[in-house]
Amino acid sequence: MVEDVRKSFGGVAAVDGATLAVEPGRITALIGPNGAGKTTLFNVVTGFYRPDSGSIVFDGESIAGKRPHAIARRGLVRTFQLTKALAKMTVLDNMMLAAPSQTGEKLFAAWVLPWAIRKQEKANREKAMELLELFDLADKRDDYAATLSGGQRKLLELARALMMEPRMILLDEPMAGVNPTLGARLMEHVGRLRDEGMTFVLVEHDMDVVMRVSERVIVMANGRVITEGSPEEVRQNRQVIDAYLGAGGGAVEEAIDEVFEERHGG
Amino acid sequence: MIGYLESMLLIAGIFALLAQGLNLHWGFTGLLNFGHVAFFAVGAYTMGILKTQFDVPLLPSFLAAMVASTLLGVIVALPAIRLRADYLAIVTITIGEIFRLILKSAPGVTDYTRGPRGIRGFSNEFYFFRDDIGLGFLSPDQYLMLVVWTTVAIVGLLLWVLIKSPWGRVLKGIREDEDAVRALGKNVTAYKLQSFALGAAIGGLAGVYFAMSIGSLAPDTYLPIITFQAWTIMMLGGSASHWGPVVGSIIFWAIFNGTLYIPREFLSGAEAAYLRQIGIGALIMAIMIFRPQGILGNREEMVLDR
Repeated sequence: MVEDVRKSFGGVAAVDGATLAVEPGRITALIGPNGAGKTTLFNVVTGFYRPDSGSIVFDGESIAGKRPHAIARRGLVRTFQLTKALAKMTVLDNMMLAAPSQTGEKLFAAWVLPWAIRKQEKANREKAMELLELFDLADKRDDYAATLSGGQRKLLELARALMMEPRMILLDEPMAGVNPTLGARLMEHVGRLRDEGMTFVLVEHDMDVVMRVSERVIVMANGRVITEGSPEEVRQNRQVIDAYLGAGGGAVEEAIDEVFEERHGG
Repeated sequence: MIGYLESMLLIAGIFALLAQGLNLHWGFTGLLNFGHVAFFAVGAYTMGILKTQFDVPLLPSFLAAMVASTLLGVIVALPAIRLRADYLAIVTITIGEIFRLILKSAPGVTDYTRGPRGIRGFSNEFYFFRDDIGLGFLSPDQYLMLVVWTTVAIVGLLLWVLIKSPWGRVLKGIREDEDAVRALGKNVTAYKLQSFALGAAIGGLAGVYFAMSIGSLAPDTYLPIITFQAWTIMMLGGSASHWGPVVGSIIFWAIFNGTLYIPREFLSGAEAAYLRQIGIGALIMAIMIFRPQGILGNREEMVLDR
């Protein structure tokens, strides 16, 4: 639940009074031309940027202006547009790092509570391996994350986010730089997790994916929400097409083509 | 020759300890600290002032030295830790120099530090203590060497346990990408602060031993060169390797002090002094070219750098 959130950099209002609500247990897509403020909004919601004004409520609690780690601990977890796999750590260490409330993460605990830590590590390792199996990364467990392909990194990021037992995941361009096969698998996971009750919001430029997986689409332009609805409704909305046209530029035209293709072909 | 080995191993031990603290900052957390000498100095001065002017017993003065350097670490870190890489380096190198000048000439402070005249006469109790524990047969240098290397071993083991623990895993994550670690629900600032404070405490203890080894305290001992020597040692041994600082320090000081033993027929004292700088410089270049991860560093991790 985001209400009238604003964030500007210098004189540029990147997010200019955005208001939107996300339904729990659904996949919501956030689309809009480049510069519409989607990623900025993500950064504001997850605490990486402080909002200039407005309110953000997650699960009945205000989280506006809270720090990123505090928001993540509440169960609102994000991934990044450019994957942030921790390159010089193994795949398994990437997973283990994400486990919440670890005793051994306190300074000196390792000196005084070795047994408690060992037990917790074992449990976390089992959980991590289960998830890695599920995401077909189990045989990569001891490889450095840097050696993974782009698609595998996206899978690792999602698996790593799940280690935190979140209730809602924000995916920033999950399909960017991912080969179609892995991309399809990624979306299968998203669909399955949604069926288990997880809430997703994804920023995505691949209209095909947006139309296929999302149940609700929110369209942003110039820092504001211009319309929202089912994929079907949004696809036929004249305002959306105008927004893409109005913004200009090659990438935008491509996106329009995709929207039109969907309309006539799909 | 024995004398050379002794004095070399003594200073090598002290700098190994100093570099262990730095290795926690840079090797494991990725904090670019170029003001490490400040912790070295605050440890030494805290002990020296407490001993000579307040007559504080040995052990409490050592502990106070570590507490003081921890505090300075926190004070420096609170504003500086928000800065990334090069900016942190600039701020820390400045703080090191500011701190030295305060010790040297700040009104009020010099009542205690005695400014450029320095402090002496704080080391007797430390050296007499060896008789009490039955080590009277050791020379003062041998005794200090034993204490220093025991400390290096203990600190090394304690750090090894910490780095292998989940706490160390968070630090490594921060070194890779602090935003990713934030997104995973970790309070990155708190971890950086802890790493900085702990490394500072280790640096402070190294400073106490250093003061013991030379028997006096003077502000101009604590020039930025000490920070860079610690950096050189860490790079030689391999940053982010547990025992790299130890190996690096022995090699560094073997070369640095070794030139003193070149017979005068070959080189004058001044020439030998230049030669050691050249030797260290050439060694750093050779290491960077042929083994950029350092002597004990992890080749695989190095190759993964983009």
